[in-house]
Amino acid sequence: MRSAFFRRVVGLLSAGALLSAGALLSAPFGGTATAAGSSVSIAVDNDPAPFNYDPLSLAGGGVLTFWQGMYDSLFTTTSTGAVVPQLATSYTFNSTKTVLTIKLRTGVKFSDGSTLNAALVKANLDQRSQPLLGAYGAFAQGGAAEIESVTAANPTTVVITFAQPTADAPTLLAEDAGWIVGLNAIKDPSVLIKGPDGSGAYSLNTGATIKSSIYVLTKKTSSWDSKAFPWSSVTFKVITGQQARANAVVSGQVQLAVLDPLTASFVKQRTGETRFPGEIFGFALFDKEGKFSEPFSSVTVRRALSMAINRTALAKIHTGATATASLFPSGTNGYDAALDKQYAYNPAAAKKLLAQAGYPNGFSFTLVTIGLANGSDLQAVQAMWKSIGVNMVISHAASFATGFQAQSTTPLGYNPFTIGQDPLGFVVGFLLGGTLNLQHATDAKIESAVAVAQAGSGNEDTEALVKLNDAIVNEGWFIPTYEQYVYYGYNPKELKAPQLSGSSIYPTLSSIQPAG
Amino acid sequence: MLSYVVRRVLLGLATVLIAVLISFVLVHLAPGSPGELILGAGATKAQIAAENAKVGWDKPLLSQLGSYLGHLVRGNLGISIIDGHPIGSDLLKRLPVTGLIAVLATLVSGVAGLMLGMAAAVRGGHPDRAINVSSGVALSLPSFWIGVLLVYVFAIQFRILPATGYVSPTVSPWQWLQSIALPVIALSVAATAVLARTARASVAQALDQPHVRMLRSLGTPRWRLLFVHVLRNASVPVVSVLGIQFVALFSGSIIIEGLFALPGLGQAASAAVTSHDFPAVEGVVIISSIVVVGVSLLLDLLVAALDPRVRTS
Repeated sequence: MRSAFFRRVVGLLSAGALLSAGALLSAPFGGTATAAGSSVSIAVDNDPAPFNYDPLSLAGGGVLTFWQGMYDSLFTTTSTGAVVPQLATSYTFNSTKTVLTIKLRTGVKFSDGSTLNAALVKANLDQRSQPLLGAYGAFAQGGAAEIESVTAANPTTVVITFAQPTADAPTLLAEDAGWIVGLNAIKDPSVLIKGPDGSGAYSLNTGATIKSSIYVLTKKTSSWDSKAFPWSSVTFKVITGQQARANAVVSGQVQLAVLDPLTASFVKQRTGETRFPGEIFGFALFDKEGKFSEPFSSVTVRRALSMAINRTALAKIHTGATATASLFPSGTNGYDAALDKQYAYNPAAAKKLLAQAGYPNGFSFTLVTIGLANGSDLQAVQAMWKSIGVNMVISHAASFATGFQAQSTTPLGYNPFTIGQDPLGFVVGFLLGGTLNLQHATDAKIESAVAVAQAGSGNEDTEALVKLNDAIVNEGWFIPTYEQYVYYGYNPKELKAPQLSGSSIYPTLSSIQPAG
Repeated sequence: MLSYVVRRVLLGLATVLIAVLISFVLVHLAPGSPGELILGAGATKAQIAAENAKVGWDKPLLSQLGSYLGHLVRGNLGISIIDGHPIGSDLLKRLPVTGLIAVLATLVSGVAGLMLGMAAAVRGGHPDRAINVSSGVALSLPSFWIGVLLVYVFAIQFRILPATGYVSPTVSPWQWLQSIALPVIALSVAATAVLARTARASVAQALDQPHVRMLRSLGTPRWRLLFVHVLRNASVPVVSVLGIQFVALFSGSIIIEGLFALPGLGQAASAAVTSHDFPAVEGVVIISSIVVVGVSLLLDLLVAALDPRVRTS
């Protein structure tokens, strides 16, 4: 009696649970259609708008795919690394490459209703000394590509005068420092806290957006270049966990995801994966003046640290990685294989250099890293440096904003850097003038090498770029470890393979197209 | 009963106030200032001081606390110093994600735990031992590990439930249920085990009560005996444990939200703490305190309704 009754109750409940579970499991999920005209979801590895919706607040460009939806730039970088006009239609340089004259596109409207004209571009570039606009670092007074003046010659012509020859100016004005915000945002920058004010093909759906987690962009059919973008809405999902991003693309919640090399084969086996060369892993020197850790003011110490890294062993940890001591990647004009021999693993020599610099017993410092992605590299280097007496304390920061702040409080950072096809742009806009040089430090050898390249043919000047590469590595402003591919997971049945911009690890939004 | 309710509500308000005070003091004891965070290393001391003055950081602590509480009473949690967004509206967008997952996980573990506990106590023998052993195993499994396993089986191998993401119930109730199914199960497993053991002990004790034995001997129907008399007695400790489990599940959502990429309070808490966004940290603490205190209050009232001795103690 007791058993029969309980069996009936349990049986009824179990049947109900099974029916519910069956219904739950049999219904389709995700539901993101990928036919042209519908929506696409993209998983990114960090918050694309950690501060506000001002694209100029992020030195280094941030998540290019995200910003390209809402803003247009004076110039843009194609997947081959070529810089072409976007809001500009053409440009000319004077003979000394100090004056850049830009012709502007007409009929471009911003979210606030304002229109593109020379006065607006001037008003944008005149913000270049604002400390919160990190992207303008190179253009500010004393910057590596200091702008002396900006003039609106007529409504469609802007004249930019640089303090010194700047052959790479169009590259510097491609995305990053070239984004143009609308008039309202110039008058009152606080409007960019609530939403973007750009001329891009998409607006932010603030109702569906959850800051720092999900950003939903909705197409503006009135945009001048809306035809270049097939999706009626684009959703960016911030998924910081590398396995969670891989899971999301495999199980179909997103159609495209930036992958960690560790999860690339997992995704490749189940859906599709594509990879791009040109990502350099290494230590960027923040504290050139030794304000937070005195030993880092010494070039000899920096060289010792470089020589104490077993790059071959480090590269072996990662599938497809190649050991390199060259900042500019193989295949670019400034690549210098000789640096590999010069900075070959030699802990004994490194220890001697430390002693020469006055640190025979080594020293201690803290490095802040975002997430766990670089954990194995850092632990390996930690052990290598420990053998020469240098104690690197690794501190983990879970957010982009914290990692960003660490650039102004710690001596070194370890990250992948996309040099791509634009090494000079990386050095001028990022290493010298961007967040990697918040101290506005100077180095005669590097600056002289930059000046030679800028006065010549920019990224085409192989000899000048090799010298620039050597100067940066020899001065220890950057300690490269290995070159790696950038991996993306996507479903080839739904999407065509995305294309990276030549200067970013993120694909261009216009390259994300439906399959077939 | 009314005086009991008033006492509990006042106690709840005092608890929230203490949480607010503790978070306020801890945030102000932490190194750094909003000015330093907003302006970065390139800023001068004067610029930092000016920025701090703008947000009132330069005023005496008590004055800041008074102003903060004044805003709080009006429902204003302040502005994020990292992105300038109103914290209250940002957190309110996230609260349903975490709240609904915690509530559902509590309900699922409550129902499943009660059924398993009753089955173990009533059936005895092999079912009792099996439930006892399996709940022991479930208790030793971290929810994160269970989540990884669930994702691998249901999302990667069989592709029948989503691995990540959240769909609002207003967009599609069915997809919402699918999007939270795995997080809820992952959170529920250990809680079910705790509740099953609690329920087993309570039901076994209730079954042994003299009045239950008397009712059984009088021929009271089985269902009535179990679901009216035994369950009522056994439910008091179960509901108390359920309250504790809700708090654990609510805080455990931080890890689960990371695994399933859910835009909940856990993500906001993690981002606020790591980016030193002081007002956002306070906001998360306050919202979480209100939810936890509110749910605990409801469960306390339920226990009081079930057991009159609680009201008079």
